[in-house]
Amino acid sequence: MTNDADASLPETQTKRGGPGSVRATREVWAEFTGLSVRLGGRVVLNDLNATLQGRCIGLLGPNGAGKTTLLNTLLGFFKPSNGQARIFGRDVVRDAAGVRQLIGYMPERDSFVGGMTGVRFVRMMAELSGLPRDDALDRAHEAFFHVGLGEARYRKVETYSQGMKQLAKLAQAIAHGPRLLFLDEPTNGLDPPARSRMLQLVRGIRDTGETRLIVSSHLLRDVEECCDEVLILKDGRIASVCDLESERRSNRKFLFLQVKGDLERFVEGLVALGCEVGMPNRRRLRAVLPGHVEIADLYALAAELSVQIRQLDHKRDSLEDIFLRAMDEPATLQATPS
Amino acid sequence: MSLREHGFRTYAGPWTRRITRPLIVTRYTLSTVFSSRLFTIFYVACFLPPCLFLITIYLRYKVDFLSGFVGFRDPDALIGAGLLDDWLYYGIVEPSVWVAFLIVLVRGPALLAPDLKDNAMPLYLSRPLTKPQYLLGKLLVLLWLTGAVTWIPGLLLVFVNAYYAEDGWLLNNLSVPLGLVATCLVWSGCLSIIALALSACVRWRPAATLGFLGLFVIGSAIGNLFRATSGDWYGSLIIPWDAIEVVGRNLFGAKASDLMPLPWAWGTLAAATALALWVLLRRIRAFEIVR
Repeated sequence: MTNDADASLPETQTKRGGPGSVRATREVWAEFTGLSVRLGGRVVLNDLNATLQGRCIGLLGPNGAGKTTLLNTLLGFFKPSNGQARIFGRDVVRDAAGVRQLIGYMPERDSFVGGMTGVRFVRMMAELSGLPRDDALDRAHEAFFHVGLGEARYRKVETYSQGMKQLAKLAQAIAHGPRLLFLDEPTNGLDPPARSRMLQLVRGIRDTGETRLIVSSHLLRDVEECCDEVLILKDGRIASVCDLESERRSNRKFLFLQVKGDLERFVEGLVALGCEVGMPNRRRLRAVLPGHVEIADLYALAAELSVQIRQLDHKRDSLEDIFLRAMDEPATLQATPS
Repeated sequence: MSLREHGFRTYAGPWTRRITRPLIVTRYTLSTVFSSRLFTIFYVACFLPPCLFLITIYLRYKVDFLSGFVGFRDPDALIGAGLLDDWLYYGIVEPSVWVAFLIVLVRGPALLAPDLKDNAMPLYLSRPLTKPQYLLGKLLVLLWLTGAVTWIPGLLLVFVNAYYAEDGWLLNNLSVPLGLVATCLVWSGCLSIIALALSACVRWRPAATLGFLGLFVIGSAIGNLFRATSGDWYGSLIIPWDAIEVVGRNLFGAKASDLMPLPWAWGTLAAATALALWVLLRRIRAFEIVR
């Protein structure tokens, strides 16, 4: 037995509890440098430059943007025609086996090994990832219970429904406790309750902080619900890399107000608090709150000046806005989370 | 087993060596193969030729003892006149060639087709398992299945024969056990790779089985027809049985066959295997590339 998955972790990584864990700090764990991939004579990925730090990365883009190709390249299925990609400091081409040992992969299409019970299928996959037989059996059972298929684990995989197959795919991807999980369209073909369950599982894995995730999806809502960073591809190039968490934080400080009363004094009061204030029209205020000012302070100011706050809205810069903006703008060559 | 652990957790235990991963594919595939009761019965029946030949060896050497009961006085008459020179070849290698063909015919086309049909390749190849390792794992299934009923019992028969024969027989005929093992491995390996290639090309199992059978039957029919009409040996180039007979007799040290020249026989087997390997490596991939 060897512990080869752990053997050459870069020093920048924080090791904890064996090969499968990193602390939930914002460290760069994936790096693309001029990554290009040509398939069938066509450039599918074109000069990608990016660093990924988030716990859960949403991979977005219209059909044919190169999402699945990027995942396949990171898995070593396609060789880059130019540039390189590194995962946890390991080159995906030169150390393909080492990288794959760290990864769990849930493909988009139905994928299983027929003629086997669910638990046997997952056990085999865990063994192929490098787990000893007994550990693989233990973790196959655990994975099945974790995804909610405990009762169906002795049924043949081909008899599963679409939703169960999706969960079985997730079980095989997590059974060996990977440090990085690739989920390609995880909610494909799921009804609303099953979709909700799948996203809950994804968030649960993300929140352990021990495993990084890349979720490829064309459903913005799925990505918005579980990702803290998005990488948007367009025509094989990176259109945007966006840190959703900081985007959400900044949105919480960006307000639209409608007030009744002495508007000028209220604006002066806001400026005195340190807010940036704009007036798109006479009845509506736009305010950006500094870090130390809370919304309660605005109500206190309004009370002091006998001004009524009739309406207060947070700016809602949804993922859809970010996505549409990225689609309108020309693709960038250099991308780090904004 | 800790069934109370239902949460996700990373793995911190030991890892197995990467070199052993093909054996995992072999183990699980063998287990699936023997889950069919019908195949298990067929497989047990494959031990019949070695058992029958064991009796033949016994009779060959104990005929004097038995002659009083069954009336045979001439061992040649018992096992067939004119075959005595090559009797071990006919008794061990020839049945092994057929048994190996039948086993590969029954199981070979079913080994890759289901994985390709169920899109299992991304699951296999996204792990620390390379394409050659996956194919080696599947190939070992067929080599194990064929080996257990061909050269392994064949070796036992050779040793039984050595026990009954005069002292020093084995040392004087070392080409017999070595040739037996080599012939069976060459034939099984060649058959297995061709069957796997067909399985990778034709994803519907019955069609792959028929294709494998057709390749050998139609190839042999055309080859024999060509031989009969032209009167020379070139037709044997597409008859795998002829190639393995020439190679087997040479390795075994039996009387040489005039079916075709030895280098051409080796060349036929090597070319067929190389072509099948090329097809295999091209067909097995994690993803189809849409051009």
